[in-house]
Amino acid sequence: MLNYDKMEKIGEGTYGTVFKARNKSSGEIVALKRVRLDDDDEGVPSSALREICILRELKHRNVVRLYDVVHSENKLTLVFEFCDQDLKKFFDSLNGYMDAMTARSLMLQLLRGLSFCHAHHVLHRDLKPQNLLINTNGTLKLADFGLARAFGVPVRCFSAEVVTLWYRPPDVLFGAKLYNTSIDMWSAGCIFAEISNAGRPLFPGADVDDQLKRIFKQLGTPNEESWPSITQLPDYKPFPVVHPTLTWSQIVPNLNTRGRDLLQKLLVCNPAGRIDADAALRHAYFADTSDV
Amino acid sequence: MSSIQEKRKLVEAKLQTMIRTIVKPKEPNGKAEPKKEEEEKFESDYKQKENPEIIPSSFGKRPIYSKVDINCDKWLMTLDEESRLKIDNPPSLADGLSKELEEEIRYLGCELIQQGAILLKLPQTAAATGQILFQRYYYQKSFVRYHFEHAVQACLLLASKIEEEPRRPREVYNVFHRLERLHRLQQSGIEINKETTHGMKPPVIDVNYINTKQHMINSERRILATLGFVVHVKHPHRLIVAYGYSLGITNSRPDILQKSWNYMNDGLRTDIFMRYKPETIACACIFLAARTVEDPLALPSSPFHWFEAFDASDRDVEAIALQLVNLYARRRFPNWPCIKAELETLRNAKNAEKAAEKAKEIAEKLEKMAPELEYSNGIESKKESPINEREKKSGADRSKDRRRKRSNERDGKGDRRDRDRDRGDREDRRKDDKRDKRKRSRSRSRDRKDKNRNRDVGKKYHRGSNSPPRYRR
Repeated sequence: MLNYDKMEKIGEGTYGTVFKARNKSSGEIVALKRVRLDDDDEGVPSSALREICILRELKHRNVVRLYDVVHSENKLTLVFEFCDQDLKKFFDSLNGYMDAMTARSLMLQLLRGLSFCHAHHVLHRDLKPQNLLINTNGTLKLADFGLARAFGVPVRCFSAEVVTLWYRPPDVLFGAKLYNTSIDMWSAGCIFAEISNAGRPLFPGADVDDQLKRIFKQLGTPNEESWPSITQLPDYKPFPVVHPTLTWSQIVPNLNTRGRDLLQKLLVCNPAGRIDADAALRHAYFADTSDV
Repeated sequence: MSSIQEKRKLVEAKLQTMIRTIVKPKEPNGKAEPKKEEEEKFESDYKQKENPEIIPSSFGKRPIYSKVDINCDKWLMTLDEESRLKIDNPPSLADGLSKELEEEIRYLGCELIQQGAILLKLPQTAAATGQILFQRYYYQKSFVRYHFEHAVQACLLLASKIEEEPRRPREVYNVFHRLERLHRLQQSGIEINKETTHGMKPPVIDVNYINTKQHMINSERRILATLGFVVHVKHPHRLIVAYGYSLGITNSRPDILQKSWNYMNDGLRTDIFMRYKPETIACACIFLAARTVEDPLALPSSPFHWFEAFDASDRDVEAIALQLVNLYARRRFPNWPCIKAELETLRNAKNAEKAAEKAKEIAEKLEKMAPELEYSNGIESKKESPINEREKKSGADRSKDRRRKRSNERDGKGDRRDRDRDRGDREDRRKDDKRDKRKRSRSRSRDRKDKNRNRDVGKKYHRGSNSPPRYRR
């Protein structure tokens, strides 16, 4: 801590305060995430533990870098690379208009970051605009791995209490305990629509039921035919069969046909049918992009 | 006698450093004031003479921050020379622990983690993670320096978090407490069954609990820092299943898989996880199990051994198998109280050693300071034989008196202490005189006279000495 000049508070993370700071020797700007270790609690919080363990192994252009961990008497400070703003703040600065090229660039970077994480057997599990950081030069970085976890090949039972409601896939909403990379792909789809609409959330549900209703209203209610074994999910309950009333071009007017096709492949209720990050990167939507 | 002198020196040295640290901040003010010539001269003298080797008191200057190297990779200990040395010579040996006892403690620690994980209803992967963390930690740190009891609890706590089955420190404490009591019962020859454990209640929340919890949490932090947060462990459990499947024995011979699984869990108590990759360990477990089950099965061995398909060499596989077989040749369960006692003696020895070192250091410091402060050869006299001591004493004591007086005069304790000490010096003589009141009073008056003489001498030396006036206060 002695090496850093604290500058200003940036925000509150899942388990601590984030400060902007300057490295005294190199002048580099960093973000300090401070985790309080109070005597009367459980020691190092497991979210901090996860974040450190996972991020120390992930080094990629589209994943926020963890430079250092500073251990002191009653707090733990994580030194991150500094990013100017998150996607949510970026949306606010747009005034409701998103350039199609920027949208594609952001989506491409999001998928690249995800593909890297998934290739390293890490599920993010909490993708949302607040956790995507953006640099002044337009680089997008995945951040806040407090809920992330490393997964083995045969997935075990995980907690169902993951992912902010709006970005939670229907299988997890039904209480599925066995999930894999598809959980992040659904969130990516929601974010994709949100990016192209310059910050209007796709499914802003109030609770689990409302969330599912909103999803099915758009995608149609799944049944055993479109999603085998859906009825076996722990919290499954039948929903009235609705048929989509709005077309995709009404929901995401700024996306071209290829973009709409990719979105539809991401937002598939049945997790088995959802496209994975690598396949999404090969999608025609990104085909004519020179490297962003 | 010598210990008293050591103590005295320690106190004196401490006072010196205290005076120095108190005086320093005042310097800017002092400079602003018009100084006497004498004082200025001293000031420059003092600065020159200030020994750069004398480090001011470290009180309050303890480094509060430690840097964790998040890029280090320590999990396999055969990758570099330093780790290879460490695995053959664990750091505990340097503190005087014998190799056998070191292994014994390792075994006990792992056993406790395994049993604790069962009582905490943690999955077997958590038990394995905890044991591997414990092993890794004690290849970096010494058992003498860091209590394994705390580390065991911290490992359980940490493993439960890593494997996403978090347990509270309170639960870990309860379980550990129970294990400790069970162990004690077992040592005293009582069979553990439902009846003996029936009345056992969880410990109450008391000071002991609060302390233990604090130790646990501190230990957890230390483990994380030591291991550089490399806490994810790849377990061979899954690999055993996968390899079994590819060998085609999953359905036909579940007993082999079960046995190899057991071998793996028992293998956690050895250092094989520090030495070999999980793939190799999985192969070795299947290899051994296929030979030791009731109805041995010949696994493919031509044109080459089956495990070579999984990148395991026959040398490694055989070495692991041998180590596992040796594990079962253990004759008894480690004796916890015995280990505890032994560690305690080592710890005490180490503490004493440290204290002695510190005293020596201070003595050296004093020796360096001595010529500056006074003319007398006070420190040397300490080494003289006790017979000469009394005669020689006057010189040594005078200088010490003076020094102590300088530091003590402000609180007026100097006189009393001098008297006390003088009395102590003459204790033997006084014993004879005890009953004779007159004699006693006479001796007292003599004491007083002596003291007065001492004081005069001290004054004389004071005037002549070049010791800093500020010390006098």
